[in-house]
Amino acid sequence: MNKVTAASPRARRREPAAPRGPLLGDGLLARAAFLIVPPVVVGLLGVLLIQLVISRFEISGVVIPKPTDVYEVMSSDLFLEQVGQSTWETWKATLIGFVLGAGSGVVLGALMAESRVARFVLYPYVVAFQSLPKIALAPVCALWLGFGLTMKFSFSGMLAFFPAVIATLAALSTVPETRVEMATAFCASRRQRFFRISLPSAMPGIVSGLEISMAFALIGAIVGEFVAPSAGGLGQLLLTYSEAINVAAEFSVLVVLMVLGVLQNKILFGVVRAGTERFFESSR
Amino acid sequence: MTAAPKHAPSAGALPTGPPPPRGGVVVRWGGLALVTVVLLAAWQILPSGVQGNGSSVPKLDAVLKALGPSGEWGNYLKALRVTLGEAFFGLIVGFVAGVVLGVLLGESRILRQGFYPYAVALQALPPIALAPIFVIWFGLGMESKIGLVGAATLFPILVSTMAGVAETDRGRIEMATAFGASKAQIRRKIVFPGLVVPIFSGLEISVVLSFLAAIAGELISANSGIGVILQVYQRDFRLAEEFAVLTILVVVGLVLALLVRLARHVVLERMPNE
Repeated sequence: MNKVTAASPRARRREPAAPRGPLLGDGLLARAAFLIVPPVVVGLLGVLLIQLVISRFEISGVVIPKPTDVYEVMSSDLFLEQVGQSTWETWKATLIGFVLGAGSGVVLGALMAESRVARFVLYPYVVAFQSLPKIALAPVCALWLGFGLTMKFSFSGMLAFFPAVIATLAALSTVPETRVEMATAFCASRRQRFFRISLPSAMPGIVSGLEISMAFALIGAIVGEFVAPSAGGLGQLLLTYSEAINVAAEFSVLVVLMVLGVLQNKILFGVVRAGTERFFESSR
Repeated sequence: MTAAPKHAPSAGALPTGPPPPRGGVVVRWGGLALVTVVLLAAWQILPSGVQGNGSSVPKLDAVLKALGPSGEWGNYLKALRVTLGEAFFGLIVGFVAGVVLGVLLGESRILRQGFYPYAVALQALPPIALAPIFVIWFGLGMESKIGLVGAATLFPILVSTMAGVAETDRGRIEMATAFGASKAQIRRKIVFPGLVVPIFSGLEISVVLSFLAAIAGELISANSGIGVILQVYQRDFRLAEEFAVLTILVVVGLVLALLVRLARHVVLERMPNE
């Protein structure tokens, strides 16, 4: 039982390994079928089941909307227009918040990893802030920064900041010592040691942290929109539909959010991960 | 800064704790004390300096007073009890559902293939966004927050349980099968004990999330709890009290994180060593 691995912050990124021996055979087609068919079957059956149960037992649309109603809402021009604009509003705040928050987080994490004094002095503050449920700061943020874009991206940046600090610090302090010592033996300057040895080795860990930061940035933007009544965006749209008890539209917004989350957390970061690996491969 | 060794020979200290105070002890503690004093002094002096919107940051002494015996501890504790109750019961819901679903999805590869993409998609959805729906389903009381906390804490536990089941050592299962162990025996003796560590790493994330989701749910709509008194204090411009509540939240968050670590330690000590 390896206790250290499970305790490390990267343990949360652990996902099950890809299926090895497919059930149906070893051909490429069988493999692809094994990846695609079960989710599609589950999805279709699930939607069908929900639809049937709702119409059979006459469950009110306020509790769970019929999948067909959700589809109807999602394909209406008005909804598409509203959602397009709101998604951009939300994602703009997410992106600005992520760049500012995660960027400064990586810098602070690197500073703490490189300077023992900085680490010792700042560590208690990082821990204290880390344990504060930062959502609770949303009302204060709204008070200080108003109800607009500034408040949204500041709050989203604050949520994105801490995962980046922690991941960068953890990744840089677990760089194999032998490599650092070898660089020192070859008279590398401190700067060379950092940029040529430590940073490339730590990159996968830092990217994992950034992925978490990005997810938190999106949460931050939405909570900002919940708290600030005139901020616009998907959070506001959700509240508006909620007040109108238009549950089908609410579910449609949730579907949009889910797609947005998958796009930015899985697909965007898949590309970023592959890119950084390729970029730093030469120096590793 | 000057006392930091220029070529730190072993920079391999674990990031989970402050580095050992080796060399430059005076500089370290001096630096920490200096930063703390400067921050506290700035907190005391600056808010009065910015008179224009001076009321939006309470002075340090006002916050300390609100935290003192004359503070509104009755209100703080009542709200804290509601919020912690929501977090606790929601965590139980999320924990049970997460472990059960995680074992199911981990054991059956076809189920995992079928459901895992949806689990990933649902996880990408910020759980906070579900809050308005849970309010419609369960009303303004504790129930809607318990549901929200359950939904938020489910996925970290599900994912880590499932990974734990899927990563069980095949060799040990094969050996047990060769010695004639039944499926139930294999589960009880090999698969389940191996889940303790992954479940705790999921739990560590979920405990933080549970507190956070409860407060987020209360910020949106509730009739009592931390999220509610934060908004009430803000509406009444009683920022000293609001900051006092935030300070209490820091302490409670630290205690919760410590409790999980302690529980993990105790459970791992008690487990039969392999």
